[in-house]
Amino acid sequence: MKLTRWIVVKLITGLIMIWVVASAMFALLHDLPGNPAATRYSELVTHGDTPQQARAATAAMYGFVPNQPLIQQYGHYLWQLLHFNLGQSIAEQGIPVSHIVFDAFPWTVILCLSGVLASFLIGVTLGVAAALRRMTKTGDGITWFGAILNGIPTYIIATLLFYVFATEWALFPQGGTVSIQYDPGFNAGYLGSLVTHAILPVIAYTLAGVGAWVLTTKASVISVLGDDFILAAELRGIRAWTVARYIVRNAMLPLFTILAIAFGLMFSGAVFIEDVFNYPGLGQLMINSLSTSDYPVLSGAFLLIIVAVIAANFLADLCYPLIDPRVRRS
Amino acid sequence: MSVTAALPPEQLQQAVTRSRKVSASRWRLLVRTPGRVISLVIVLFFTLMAIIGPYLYPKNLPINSNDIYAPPSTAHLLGTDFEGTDILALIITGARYVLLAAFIAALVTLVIGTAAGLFAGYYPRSAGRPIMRVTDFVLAIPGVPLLMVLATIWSFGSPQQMGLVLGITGWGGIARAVRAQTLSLRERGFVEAARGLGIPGRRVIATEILPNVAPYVSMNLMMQLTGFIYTEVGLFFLGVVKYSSSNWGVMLNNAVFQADALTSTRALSYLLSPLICILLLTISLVTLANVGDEIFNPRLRRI
Amino acid sequence: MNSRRLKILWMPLTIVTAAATIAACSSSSGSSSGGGNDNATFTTIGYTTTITPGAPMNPFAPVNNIFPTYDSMQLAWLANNQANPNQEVPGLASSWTVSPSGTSVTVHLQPGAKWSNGQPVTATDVKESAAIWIATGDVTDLGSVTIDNPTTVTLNEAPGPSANTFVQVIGNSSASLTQQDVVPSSEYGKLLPANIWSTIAASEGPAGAAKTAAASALASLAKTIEAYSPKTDISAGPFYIKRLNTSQALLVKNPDFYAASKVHIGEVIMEHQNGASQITDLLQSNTLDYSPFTGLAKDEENKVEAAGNKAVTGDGLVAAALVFDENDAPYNNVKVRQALAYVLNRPAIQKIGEPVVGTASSTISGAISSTLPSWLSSQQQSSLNAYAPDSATATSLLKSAGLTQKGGHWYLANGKQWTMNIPVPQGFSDWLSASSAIKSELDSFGIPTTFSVTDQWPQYQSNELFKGSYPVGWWLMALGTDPYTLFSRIYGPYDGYNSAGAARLATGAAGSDNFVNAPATVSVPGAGTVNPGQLTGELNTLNLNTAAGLAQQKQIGAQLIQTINYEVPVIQLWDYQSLVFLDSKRFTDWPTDPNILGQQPGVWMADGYVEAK
Repeated sequence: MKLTRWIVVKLITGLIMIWVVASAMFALLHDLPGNPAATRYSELVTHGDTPQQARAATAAMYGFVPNQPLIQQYGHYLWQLLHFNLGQSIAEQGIPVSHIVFDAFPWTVILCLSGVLASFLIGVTLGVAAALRRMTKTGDGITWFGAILNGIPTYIIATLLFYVFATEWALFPQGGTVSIQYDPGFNAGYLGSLVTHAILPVIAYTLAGVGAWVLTTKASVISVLGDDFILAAELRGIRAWTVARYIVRNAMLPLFTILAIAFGLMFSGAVFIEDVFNYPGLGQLMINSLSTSDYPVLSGAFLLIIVAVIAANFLADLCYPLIDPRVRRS
Repeated sequence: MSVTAALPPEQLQQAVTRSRKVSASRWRLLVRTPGRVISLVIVLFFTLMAIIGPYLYPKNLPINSNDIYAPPSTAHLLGTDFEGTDILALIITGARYVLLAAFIAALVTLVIGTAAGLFAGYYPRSAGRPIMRVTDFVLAIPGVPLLMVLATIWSFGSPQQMGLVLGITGWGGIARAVRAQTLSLRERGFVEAARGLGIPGRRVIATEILPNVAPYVSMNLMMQLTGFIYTEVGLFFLGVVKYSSSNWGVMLNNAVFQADALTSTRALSYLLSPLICILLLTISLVTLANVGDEIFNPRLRRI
Repeated sequence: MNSRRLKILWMPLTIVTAAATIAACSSSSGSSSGGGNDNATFTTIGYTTTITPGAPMNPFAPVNNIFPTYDSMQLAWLANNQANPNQEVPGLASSWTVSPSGTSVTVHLQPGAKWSNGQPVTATDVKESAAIWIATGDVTDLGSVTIDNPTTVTLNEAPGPSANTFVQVIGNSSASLTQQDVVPSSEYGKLLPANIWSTIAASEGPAGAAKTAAASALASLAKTIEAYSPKTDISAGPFYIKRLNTSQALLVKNPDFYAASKVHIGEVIMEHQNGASQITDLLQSNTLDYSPFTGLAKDEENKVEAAGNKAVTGDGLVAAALVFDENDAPYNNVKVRQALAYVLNRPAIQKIGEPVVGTASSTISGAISSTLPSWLSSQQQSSLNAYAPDSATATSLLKSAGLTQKGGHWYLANGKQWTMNIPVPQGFSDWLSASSAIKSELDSFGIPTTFSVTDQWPQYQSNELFKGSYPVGWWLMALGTDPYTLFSRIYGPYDGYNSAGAARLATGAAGSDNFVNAPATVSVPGAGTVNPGQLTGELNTLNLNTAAGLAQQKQIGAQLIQTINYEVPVIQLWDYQSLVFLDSKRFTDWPTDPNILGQQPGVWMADGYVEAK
């Protein structure tokens, strides 16, 4: 019962957040210099459209009609949004924004998920090793490696990888998601091409995230090291390996909370990585729509990112009790 | 610092003073390894550069069309850029934007984040809930996409504006951390004692809790600073924000996308100069922030 | 400023290449020489190639997936030959004849021409395509089309004074008709109403209610056509689109192409254009078999060549300039404009802005510097003012124009300080660098200058520049080989004149693109009083079939050059050179004829060139 209520509260919070962002996007499209919707409308009228035609065209593009009362425009906008109608692109005239953003979305998710998971697994493993061997050269080395990787911005890592492995020593393609030469479907050529296109961006993601995981994991593990139950276990003569497992299991718990946040942060990294690797996901879409002043696409892509982040956080919250028994009990 | 709730006020005061004395041992932690001393020197050096740098050169740096992409020489220690301007001069004058924006962002974060965290932690029921809802919201929104959306209405021409936007969108982490600290401090004896004496909440927060979270906040802020520097430089690197004067991010963008520094050796120095500055600065900040971790997590120290 | 996004470097114009030459290339035959692999994959990228999944494969859609010369054909392709602006390379038309009066052209289609669905390309296809060209407003001088037989069609000029833009249909230059895509009647015919030609006739007839009604009927027809999305790509070219994604399009050989047996390429991969550095990277990693225009540093060029690519160079046939709005003070004063021409060091600006593929303009003339000898005698050439940098002359000119200098800064006659902002359309990274150099020069001369990045080129033009928003702005001028097109970049529609050099519109008037606002008459020292708008219009209406007409063309050109040189409506900064690369490691048998080499590779392949090694 309590769980149901908790889920409902979380869901409502999420929906409120989405509504706030959507309203902000509406305000943004309205207050942009020159009010793009109104500009578009007057442009169409001066190009010989009748006011009715121009209104219809602008409404299709932005999801609201520029010369209605504000509150009506807002209502119209939200109503269209409920139907997943995000308006039409300006730069790619006549193409629905939802079509464009949903085309880009899966690629970003593929990159982000594999990048975040890979950096989590590698970073946590290295972090545990660094903590358990913190008095040795290995431990120091891992810590330094983590600190330096953590100090290098994502876009620099990505640019260097691109330069070395896609240009100078062209082992991997320079952009795109898959080579057009293969028939889409479950065949070795197509799948292999998908992998070779994704591999550098995913490595960039992994390297960009791994440093923080190493440092956080190390700190978390060390803070568990001196806990009473560990000391007790050591005193009882339990094998070192078993004790290490106790330590790691307990140190992992706070890391999962951070993992949930990382799923949100990953979209920031997506912008840089997709830009450098010409990978046509939401990040690159946002950059392109910003440089072509394609505001409906920009706001559509942003909305989708927000919905994805909120959904990811919700799922993480749902999963958390499964991981941490203490939460389940309370 | 196990102070019992029965402690009389004078002794309570002493306990707090004792806690402040710990700062001496913190300083020892800071200077114990050469890497940390170097990091501190680097951070101070760049700070100084940001403060006085622009005064060392004329407002408009001279250009020279006969000397574009010149290699490093005695006349131009780091070579020249696409219009024959001295790269060293660009680095020195460009430091201010990067550091000032990061500093302002940190300041905004500090004020909003600490205040939100303190109140949310001290009044977990009344103020805490709404504050944490907002904090979660701010945390959930990915920074770079948000800044790109804001770039459509906001000009990032001045470091003040950039810093303000970075700060307003980036205080969630600190608020959360401060709240956690405050929640635990709240249950400590000396705070409970102060509350028991009927001291108003605002004063307890200011005099008892704030001094104890301050070092924690400052170390957290150091990590935040690196994040702000990444992000602002990154926005220039992407070429999605408008700018009115050169800075390290603009230099990186020009070097990579205009001078093709990755394939052409002519702009190597143009690329490496801002890059190395950014890396030196951020790695130094990360190193210094580690000191903070060790203070709060003594087991991290190598004894 | 947004210096990134080198994306669409010359999006509006696609730098036309003239007299392209390949660096040290093996001789080629152009005929099928056997050997090699006829199923080779050729990878390329266009200047403006953006691939938009979801956009229609319709050449008339504003955003489309159509690749000219590969899967879309015109009747003929313009050769961009400076010596002979009339020259064209055959496309779907194998030959054509212009009537003696210059008002109709008879076109013979390629024998055996077929669409990729196996249907023959017929006169009906051309006639219906022509109706679409008129409805969409892409062609204005065409009146009617007569079908002579299934493979022969005659295009007739619209009533009214005969314009060179029509005579030049296929005989002459950059005029519109031949630059239009021929589309299949099977797809587009159903969009056209039965009375289309009478509507067209009414729209071109005398003014009145019938004309207005016809024009609005055509406008709404144009919208229907632009929105139409064929299900598959039906191409009359050597290739057709098999599939595409966000980054690439795959075109495969069209077995029904009229010269399919000559085509040695099995598939073409078209990369999505992401920016200039992308082109460099692709060339270096040897992924690109033909690159569009690229500006590379010398050491990069060496690297690209070491990777097995050959450079093709040619004149760019376009120049970059600063243009003034002569409505705005102080630029309404010819002395101020001349003074600025003396202040700006054009070679220095070119070196910073466009060091590799630009050459500083030798003077301010309105024409590419290398073409000046074809317009002017050597004496006329030497009498042109070269505007060599000279701040003393600039200072005295400004003082005589009533400006004053105080504390190192300049003040206008009304006492306001003179400052300048240079708007740079987004994506033009060379203009951005050059603006930085211009700012530096003007700052030190005492005119505090800023520069700012604006919208992209199309919006920059139509929403800002043409509305009179900028006293000074960037401009592309000296475009192409046709004299009218060349000078109309200054004294044509952008100065308010229609294509006949009359009916001048003011800035801001409906349908006006006037932002130059030059005086109606200019008294040019040594050339007398001239009316530049009228002269430019005359270039479009001259009868070029006579020697007198040709002589007059040259005389008008010389007059206009002298006017521009004196009146300084623009400060011409540099002329562009074209530089593209071919992959000589994987392919051989490249064209050597400059008229063919200047075309896109689809034309080469259709003519039997390009074969895998």
